[in-house]
Amino acid sequence: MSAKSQVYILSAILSFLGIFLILYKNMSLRVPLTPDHQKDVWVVEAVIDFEAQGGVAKVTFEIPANTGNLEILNQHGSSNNFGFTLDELNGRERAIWAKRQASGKEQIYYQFSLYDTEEEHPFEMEVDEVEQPFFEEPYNTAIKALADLAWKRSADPESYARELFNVLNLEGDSQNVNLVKNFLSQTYNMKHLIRDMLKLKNIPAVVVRGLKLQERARKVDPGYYLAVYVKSWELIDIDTGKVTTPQNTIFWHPVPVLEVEGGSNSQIKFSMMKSRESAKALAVDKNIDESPLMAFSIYTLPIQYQTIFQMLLLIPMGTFVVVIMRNIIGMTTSGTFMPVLLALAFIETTLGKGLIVLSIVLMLGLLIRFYLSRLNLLLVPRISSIVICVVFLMAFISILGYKLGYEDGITVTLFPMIIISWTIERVSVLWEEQGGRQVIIQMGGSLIVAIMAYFVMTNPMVKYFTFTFPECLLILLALVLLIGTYSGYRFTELFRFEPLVKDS
Amino acid sequence: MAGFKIASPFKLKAKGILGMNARNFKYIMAENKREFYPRVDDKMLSKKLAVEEGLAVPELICCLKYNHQVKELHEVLAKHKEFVVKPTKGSGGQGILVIVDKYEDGYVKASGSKISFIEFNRHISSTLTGLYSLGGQPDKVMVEKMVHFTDTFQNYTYQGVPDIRVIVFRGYPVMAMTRLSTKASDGKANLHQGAVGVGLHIHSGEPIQAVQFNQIVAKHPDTGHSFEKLRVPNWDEILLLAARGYEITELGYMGADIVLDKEKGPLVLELNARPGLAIQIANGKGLGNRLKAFEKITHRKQSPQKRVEHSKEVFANNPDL
Repeated sequence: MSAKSQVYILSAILSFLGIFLILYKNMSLRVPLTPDHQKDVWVVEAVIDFEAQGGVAKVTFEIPANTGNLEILNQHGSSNNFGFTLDELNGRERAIWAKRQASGKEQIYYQFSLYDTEEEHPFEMEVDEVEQPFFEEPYNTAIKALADLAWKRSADPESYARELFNVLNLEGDSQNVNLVKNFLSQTYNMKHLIRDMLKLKNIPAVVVRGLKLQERARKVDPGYYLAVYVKSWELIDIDTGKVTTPQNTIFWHPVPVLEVEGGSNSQIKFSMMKSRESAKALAVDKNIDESPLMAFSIYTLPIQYQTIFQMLLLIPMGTFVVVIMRNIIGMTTSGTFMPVLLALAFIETTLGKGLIVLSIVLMLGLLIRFYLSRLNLLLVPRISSIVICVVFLMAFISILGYKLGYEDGITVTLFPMIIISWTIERVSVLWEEQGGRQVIIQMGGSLIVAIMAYFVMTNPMVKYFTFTFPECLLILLALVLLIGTYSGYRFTELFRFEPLVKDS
Repeated sequence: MAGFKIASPFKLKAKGILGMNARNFKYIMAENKREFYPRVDDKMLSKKLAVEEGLAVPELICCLKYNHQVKELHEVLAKHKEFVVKPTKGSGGQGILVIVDKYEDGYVKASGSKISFIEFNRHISSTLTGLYSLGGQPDKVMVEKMVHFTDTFQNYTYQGVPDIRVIVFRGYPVMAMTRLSTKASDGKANLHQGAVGVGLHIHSGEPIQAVQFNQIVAKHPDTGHSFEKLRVPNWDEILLLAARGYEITELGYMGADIVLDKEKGPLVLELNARPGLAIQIANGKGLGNRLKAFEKITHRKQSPQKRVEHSKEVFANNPDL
């Protein structure tokens, strides 16, 4: 088999493999092809404090059952020497910590994250048969009188609930209201009373706890809501008595959120943080343990390595630009892959600043090199001294930038010094040997290619795609192999050889 | 500028113009074995091989490998008024120093400018470190006797080093030109720096046309002499020398650079495994067609004389090729 047909077959296999993997990830793992819109992700941290009584301690935390438009992404608990299990009881999920010997203050952290599905989910709960509440006299008469009053003023369960609020809150001078208010206590308060008054009229009603997720809220308690069943569960704000459809709110079953056995003074506080993440990251998070393809993906690496890889995966795109510019377009560059290195440097500094810094450093460096050449130094020490001077120049530019208020001038220091130093050396030799014209052609070519590579490598689509679908590098490899066998004219040759065809 | 007109790739193809990609892919990679590259990339080795084969080359004065040899170098050079210093692995004429005289603190270059001993020594050490070599690898410096060019080119060159480039394909000369330095090229014979290239008929050595910066010119821009009257002497010898280069390099696609010395006649200056494509413009002909025509030759190994005769015959009979 000839080399050329091997290249064709190899390219076909590579691109097929690449396309197959990309499609598989997209179709079956639901990793989107484009860096689509971002979704809200909430990280909620519950801190459970209690005083252990010196024996067995068992802490049970109810996991929110109704999360509305949110969906729980992952959860984990961390605590000191507590055994941790996730448990299901009657369809309710619970996190349980246990310890044989616990004494003194104990603290347990439980973290879970939720993301906004941007879909509405109705509040769901089992509807139990309504048990008629029992009140002692004289409260019984007063409560029933108020209930009847509200009932008369309303048309349906929702308006009845609202009227209950009105009756109990506004008519402060009524005797019945004053009487009923005496009946209320710490553990049986207004919301419980209204629930029971709803039950009096055979309307299923439950007091539930709900936590409204708010940005940067710290150490908050879940609030209370009244769930009323009218064909479906409706939620009533206990402050206003109005039906609400709370957004970003998670609800517990009507059981205690926290139960502590073998401890006292227990409390639970919630802190939360909102961030925005791409749907891709969410798809990855959900699939990371399930698919072998994802288990070996870059996403399993710690974040700091991921960012390095993000950069590494962009380099092939840069070299691809160089391949096209040199072999298809026919530009001259000084040094084959110097443009890619320059582009990488520009990514650190942003283009405009990078170009300014590069030209300043190049010019000053050339001046220094011009002086060094009069000192008759050997080549390697000469380049080393240029490297040191370039480092000084960079430091100076950064400090100057900082003093002038450009804090990001600091990133400029990461500019690849060695490359610049070699470039200075090469440019000065090129200048002496071949004149300024060649310097402009070659440096200009390198810069143009570097800028193009920069734009390709900073393109959000390219960045996203190479990182999420590293398989696309297989397709890139196939293309580069194909270009490797391209023996047609380069674009610039159409100009170069034009004099050969014009006379005929 | 006329040079910015665009040509259709189909027209170029029809005319058999060889592009850079095709040159690299079909000829350099296919015809030139990697193992033979050192024979042309290391000029000391090419010179040694050429001398063994009996090809005329500029005489070597000395070659140095280490920096500490510079002292001895000056002792050797004390006996010579004129000489040429070259990196053995240089490319594109970079790092070549042509010395024509001395003064108390240094040497005088061909251009008339001076170079002090200190600067000269620095040049040598930079060359040894690899400043001019391909890929920056450590290099050697060779010092050759100066070539005294024939007067033939006197009217057609501004300072510098006129030479004749012959493309040799599988041992057959297929295209030739002479490169003449100009003021614009700063006395250098590199076409991209502004030297004039004059295409030469293989069968006669007579000029075809002259180009500078890709444009056809009738007269030398500095001397004002018309190229029509340019005649290259010892043409057959030049072709034979170029063809014999194949015997020592075994590179199927190569360029032979030949200079004409007043007394010694044609000398092989250097051999090149990656000859440029500008020669096509100087000839007004495509190299692709010519290479294709010669690909068909399936003679058993012919002698260099036979190959030169064959080439001349082919081009005399096919003026369109």
